[in-house]
Amino acid sequence: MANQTATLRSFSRPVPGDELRRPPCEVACPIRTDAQRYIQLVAEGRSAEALAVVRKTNPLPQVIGRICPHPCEDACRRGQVDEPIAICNLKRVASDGAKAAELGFKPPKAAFTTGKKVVIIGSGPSGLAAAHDLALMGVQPVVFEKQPEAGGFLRSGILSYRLPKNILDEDIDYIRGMGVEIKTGVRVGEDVDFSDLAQEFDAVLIAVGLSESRSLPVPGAGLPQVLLAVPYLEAVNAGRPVPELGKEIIVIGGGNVAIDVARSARRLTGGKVTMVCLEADYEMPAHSWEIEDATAEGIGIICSQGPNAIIGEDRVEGLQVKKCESVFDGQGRFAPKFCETELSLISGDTVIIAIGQMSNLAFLPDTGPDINERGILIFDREQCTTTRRGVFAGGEVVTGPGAAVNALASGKRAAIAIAHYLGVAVDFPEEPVAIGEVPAAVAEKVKPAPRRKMPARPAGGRLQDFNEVELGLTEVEARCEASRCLLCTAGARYSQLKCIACLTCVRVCPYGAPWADKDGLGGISPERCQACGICFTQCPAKAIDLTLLSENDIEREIGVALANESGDVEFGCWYSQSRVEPEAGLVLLPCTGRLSAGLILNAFEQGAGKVYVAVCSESEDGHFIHGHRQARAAVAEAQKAIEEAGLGPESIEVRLEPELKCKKI
Amino acid sequence: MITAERKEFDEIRQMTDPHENVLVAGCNTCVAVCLTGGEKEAEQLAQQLRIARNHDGIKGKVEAVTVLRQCENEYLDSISEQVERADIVLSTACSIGPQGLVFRYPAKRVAPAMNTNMMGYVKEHHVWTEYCAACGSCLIAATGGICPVARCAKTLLNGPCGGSQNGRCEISPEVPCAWQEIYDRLAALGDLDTLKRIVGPKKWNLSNSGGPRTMKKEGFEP
Amino acid sequence: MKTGSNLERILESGAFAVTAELGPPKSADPQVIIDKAAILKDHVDAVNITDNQTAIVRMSSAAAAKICIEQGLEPVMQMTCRDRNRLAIQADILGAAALGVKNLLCLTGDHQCFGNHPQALGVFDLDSITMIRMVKDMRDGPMFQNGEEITGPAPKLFIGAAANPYADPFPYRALRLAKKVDAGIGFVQTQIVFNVDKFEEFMHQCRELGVSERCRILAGVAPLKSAGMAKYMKNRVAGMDVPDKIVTRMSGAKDAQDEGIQVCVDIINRIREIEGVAGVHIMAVEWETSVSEIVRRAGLKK
Repeated sequence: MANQTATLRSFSRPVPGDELRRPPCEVACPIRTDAQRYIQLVAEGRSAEALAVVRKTNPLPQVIGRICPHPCEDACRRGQVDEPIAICNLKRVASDGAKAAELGFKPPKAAFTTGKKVVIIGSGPSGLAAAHDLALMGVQPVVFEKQPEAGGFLRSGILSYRLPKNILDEDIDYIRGMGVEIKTGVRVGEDVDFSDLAQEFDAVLIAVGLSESRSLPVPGAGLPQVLLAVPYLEAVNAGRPVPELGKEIIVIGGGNVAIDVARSARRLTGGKVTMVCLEADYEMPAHSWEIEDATAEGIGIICSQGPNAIIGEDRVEGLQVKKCESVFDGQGRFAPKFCETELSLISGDTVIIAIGQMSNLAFLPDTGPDINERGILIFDREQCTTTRRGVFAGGEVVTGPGAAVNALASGKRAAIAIAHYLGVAVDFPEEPVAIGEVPAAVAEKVKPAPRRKMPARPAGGRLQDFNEVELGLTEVEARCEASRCLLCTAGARYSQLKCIACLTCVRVCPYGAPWADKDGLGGISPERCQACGICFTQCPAKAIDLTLLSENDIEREIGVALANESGDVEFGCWYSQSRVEPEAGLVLLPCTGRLSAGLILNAFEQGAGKVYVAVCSESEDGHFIHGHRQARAAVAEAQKAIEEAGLGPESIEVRLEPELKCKKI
Repeated sequence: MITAERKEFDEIRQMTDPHENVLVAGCNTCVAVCLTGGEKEAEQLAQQLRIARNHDGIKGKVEAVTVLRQCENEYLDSISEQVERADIVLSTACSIGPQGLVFRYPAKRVAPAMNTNMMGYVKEHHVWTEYCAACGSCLIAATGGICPVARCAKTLLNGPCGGSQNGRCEISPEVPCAWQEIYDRLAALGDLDTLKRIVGPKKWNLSNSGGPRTMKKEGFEP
Repeated sequence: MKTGSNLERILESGAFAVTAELGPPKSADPQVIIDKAAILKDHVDAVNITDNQTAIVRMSSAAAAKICIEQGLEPVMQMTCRDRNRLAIQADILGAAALGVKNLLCLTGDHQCFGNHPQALGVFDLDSITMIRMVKDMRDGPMFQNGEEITGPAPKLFIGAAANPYADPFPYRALRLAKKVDAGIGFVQTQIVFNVDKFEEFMHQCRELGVSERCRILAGVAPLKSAGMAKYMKNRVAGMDVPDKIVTRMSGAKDAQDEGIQVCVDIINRIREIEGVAGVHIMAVEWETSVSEIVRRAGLKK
């Protein structure tokens, strides 16, 4: 019934090993977050379970849900249809929703079964990630932090309008709650000796990050109104006054830190803030959305200019700049070229230098681990080891500057290396391979749905304080956004053993995903599959099941739904977010088009008094092509079956969705 | 392939209600491909029987099991445990299935859940068309590759009767006239002279009219 | 002359032959046949005795033909392939010939689904063409279908068949008739002609193929009883081609029955002019009394 097609398609055999491939969002994520799964749970309104999925790989879910540059979204296949899913925002929805429901914040108590202890120097993202993962592997971590509070650069470098301090505290408290000890205000090398620690603990992890700002070797750099980004941000974040700040501030640098410096200065002073960077506008290392936010807040950006000298006798009066003709050489290395004659002056009373950071490794003893001639820790990227046995490293101290999520990944890898070193039977995870792009013919068939925009405070108001700018998606909007997910690799799975090569799936799939060759061998292309479930409902040999919400899963959900007092079941739809029979127990499906008559009969076998099936209007396809037709066909078949079996046909009722919230733009 | 349709549920009830434990035996070949008696349909029939028998207070268990082909001994042997447990085996295969079960399990009651109807071609999804009547002497070389024995309502061998109208058979506007198809095809191939030859009478003794047939692979007799 | 058939004699003489139709009753009552024979006897050269027409059970055509002979009216016994296999057909032919039947019309037969026993098995062991050849072999061989010689008197039958110029595929219709001629028919009766233009085209094709030389063609005609009947035949009866102008003519008539007869007569008058037409076969189903009037108005005979 679904797709009356009299002509077979021409089949193309996809790359073997489809069943092993993963959604590109997950592959693009440095910590391999199963984004799709938590997005699905958000779509169902199950925030706490969504958060649990995030927590599986992410020790700082709330933090990352706010500040991640989300490489997953760049990889998201929905972007090949219209715009990528707002994956990062949905992560925040998962944690915000779970928090509102008072769920998902009780940490599991770690059992340190190995009896081994690891000292972790630094409580930034890499140190925390390593501590979190080691605790779960039965190794006891002790974290040393030189600052009075844990968090590293997350606390000292990122401003609270982007990452509120209470959010950071909650994520750190969770890790503490697992049994991880964090000793703050302790400077290794001063308060405690590195070698003593190395002696006392079974292993050491150096995760000190990049805690020092680089300065500029230009005239005038020693003036009192010339500040460095890191100490400046530390002061701002700690709520200390910065008396040197004037009313006309020049920020040197074009990265994300420079943006934070500029935005905070604008908030603190209300004055004029101008960023100056070497790069042309399209080359700026800061994320485009950060640049947009800064511009919206009235910050000027002067591109392709290099600092030549800071002007002023005892006070800063301005910055002399020279034209930067190119930043990178032919090999893409940093090698700026200037036009020494093309000089200009930017007036200002304060200069903040935000051109990069470096680590401080002064605490390391001569006995190692060793440092190379450029002052960088000698490090094995693969094994996370240093030159000293038992001493490992992770995070930006070895990877260089990047996103917090990369530091998490590095810390997590170090945790595995350490655990393995300490005798725990673990190994690095296999690198997943992503499925390919959405074929154009399939993209055309995907129901259009615009990406939901993150609501933010108006630029005027937000400059008055350091409160969070982004407000979080509402539940309805979040579920709509989550519903846009193409469910990469979560669709049909086919068993070659059970397949009878009948071609039913090939004929009914609206997206042309199943294929077969002349020998009856076949498969289901994960690139084309949209997880609508029609093939699953029609396969006569039961050779197809769905990865997400398999037949067994649905049967189990029916059982759960029937625990409801009414004894009735509603098969509902994710995408509508509405109920056709609020009294009935709910089994939520992506689309009721994935209902087979057998599943409806199963509800009666499990004791359902009445079954309600939500469907959308016949006049228009809902989320999936033919979904409502398939649902109606399954209902008609089940209705006939139960009528023949002696039950009243009214035991099954099809009801139109009262409201399709996700159809609204 | 062979096509079969499920019998009315009432008839299935009449056959199975007197028995306590029922095994619905599915067949994952022809009847699965024609979407009427494979694993999915067998399980669904078992579900339906359980609901009905539960509703009417009939004791006993209804199980379902499916083999790849019910027309082969070895496959039928593979479900001996389930068959032994049952008081009656209800086969959703073509009629060969239940008869195979009878051959293999002589002491067991067996009932057909299906009406076997034809050997057909899947012209489009969900539509099977009778293409072969197993007449035992294929003559389609003379009829443009289209079988009038299976596809003409009167099994005519010498051209369309007077009831052929607008390409449709006199019995129903739903049914195409095989002889119109044969004519069109031979005309397109430039082979209309073929139709001037008188064909037949047909040797019906080679069909089922000659009695039940047996086929043996030559050179393999014991 | 291959047989003792009066119809064959008339046709061979070149005279314009007239046949009509006599449907046996759905009972064992011989009187129905006696009465119908009385009505038709003086106006036609022979009457067709139908064989379970439209697959409805009636008295057997052989028995009805025998009663007809007794009334002095020559029957054309119809025989379909639908209800008998080759054994039964040959047996009935021997029996009919023994009872004095001289003409046999070989038909495939309407499908059983149209009749009053739609669940019946359709035999169709032979089709009309293989039946014709079998009857010819019985007469001229003389031998049975299996090749075995008929040692006693052979059934000397004037063999006929039906042809429908209005069925599809039209270009094949004359060819199929030619095939029947090859198989052994001496005469053919056509489906009712309303669309004379198309019939002329069919006759042209028959002449081209030499069919009209090798067999006598009787055009089927029938009187319409009402405008409703005209419309019904136009729209509902398969293989019937009733032009709009005839429907209009019937609708505008004051006396529909009279007009129906006149339409039929007009058609006969046109048909007579067509080269190769050897006679008419008047199918006045359950309106046998109209036959005499048609024959009279058309000035056909007696």
